[in-house]
Amino acid sequence: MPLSVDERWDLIDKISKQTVTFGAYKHTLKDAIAELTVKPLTGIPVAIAVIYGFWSFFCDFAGTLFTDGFMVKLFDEHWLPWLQSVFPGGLGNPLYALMVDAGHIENGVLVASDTCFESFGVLTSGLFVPFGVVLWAVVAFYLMFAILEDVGYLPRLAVLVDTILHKIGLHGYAIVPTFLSLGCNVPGVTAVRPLETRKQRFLMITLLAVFIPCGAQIGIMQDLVPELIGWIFLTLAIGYLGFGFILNKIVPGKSPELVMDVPPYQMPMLRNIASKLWIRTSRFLLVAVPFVMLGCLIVGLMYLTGAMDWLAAVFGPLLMGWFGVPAETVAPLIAGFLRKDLAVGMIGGLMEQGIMTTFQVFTSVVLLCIYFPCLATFVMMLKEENWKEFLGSIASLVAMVFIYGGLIHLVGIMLGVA
Amino acid sequence: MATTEEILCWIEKGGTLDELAKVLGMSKSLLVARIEFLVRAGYLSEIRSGNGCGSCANCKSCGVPVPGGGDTGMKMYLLTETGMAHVKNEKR
Repeated sequence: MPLSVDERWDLIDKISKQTVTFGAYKHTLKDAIAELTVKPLTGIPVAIAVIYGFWSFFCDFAGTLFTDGFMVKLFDEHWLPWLQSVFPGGLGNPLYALMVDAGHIENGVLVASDTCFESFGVLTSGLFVPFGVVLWAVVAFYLMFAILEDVGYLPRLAVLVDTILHKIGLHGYAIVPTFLSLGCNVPGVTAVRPLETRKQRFLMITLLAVFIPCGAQIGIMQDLVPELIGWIFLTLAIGYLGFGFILNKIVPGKSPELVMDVPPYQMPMLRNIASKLWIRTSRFLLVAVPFVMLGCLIVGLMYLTGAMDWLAAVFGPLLMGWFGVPAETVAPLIAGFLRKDLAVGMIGGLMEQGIMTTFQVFTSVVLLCIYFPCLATFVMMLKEENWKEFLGSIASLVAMVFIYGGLIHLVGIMLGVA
Repeated sequence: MATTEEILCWIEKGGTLDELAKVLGMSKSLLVARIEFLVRAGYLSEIRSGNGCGSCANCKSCGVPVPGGGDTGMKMYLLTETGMAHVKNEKR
């Protein structure tokens, strides 16, 4: 009489018990660490410590050591004055304004910029943003990310956040594209492929495109508004979870449960980390540098032709009335289509000129994060989603920007800071 | 010894393989063998994900050997339509 599947497994179990001798398994330190980092009671404090360490390294290595220690001095004290002295034309000349320094008005007089954030030329801001600030932030981020990947910590983080992410229709694995997007949204969008259902991929791509700032943007934010960055992250996290919860209720489809097989911890290999760091950083440089320089050129041309003033006049009432930010924010919002880091840099320039209040800076930076993905992410979304999903993502994005942006303004009014 | 239906019902609830092995009172190696059988039988689907870079567009052409990554990274199992129907029938 043939045996059923379960009876066969029973038989296999009996045979293996009679024929295989299992030695006593000794728990190693690696096992103990593996258990501690996956159980919520101990795993959550460890996760907080890991993220804090990650952030401290990111700020100290990229912000304090390289950007403030070397690059700001190099660009503001040597490169900018040198270009201002040798580039033909001088202040007020259109080519000089595009390439070196557009200057700014002080007491009705056009004056030269003191910093590369303010100057907004292709050869000044266009080089300072990618090489002076963002490159070091990207290197710091990808170095830490590669170490966490190779050690095997990310799957444990996935298990820890699994319960929370189920509330928004995702599961623990979604932490991988989310984390990856904190470096760059483009590989983050690609990393949603292992998610099982179209619903989950749609939710993940939409949330990534709206609420996850990239490493370049974080690097600039950390440099320009370090005192606001905690509030900015908190606002984005609330938006990510809140709108994720709403989208999960609205979007049809399934979000099935799954079981995960977590790999053991490993010693990271230097060669792997170096290779990954090189691949990711070089890809960033190839994409970011031309886009930042192009962004400077387009924005400069728009200023020179008066197109920016026209756009500011058209969108100013909406920006001021609904979002509570000045009409001048239209320029960073346009630059943000190309590169968000460049756009945050422009807000820094406006801040240094005293055009914005602290709350307006906060709102503008959050708006920049959420209002539209950068061009590279936009292209990747087109590639990864079908037309229906893509239009759905864009519609969700527009709705989220207006609702959340307006809500932030409302909170500011209620607190008396807007 | 847990039945196929029990294993599928627990997988539907989510978690990790280690937790599942403890709950079902079997060794992890036996559970993995049973899960691999269920994948072949069409009740479960297996999703492999490298530690971040495994899902990269350049993964196949990338020569970087990733410890715990690529094909040997995090594995996830979920119920297929057949598996779900089986669980549903069992619950009835």
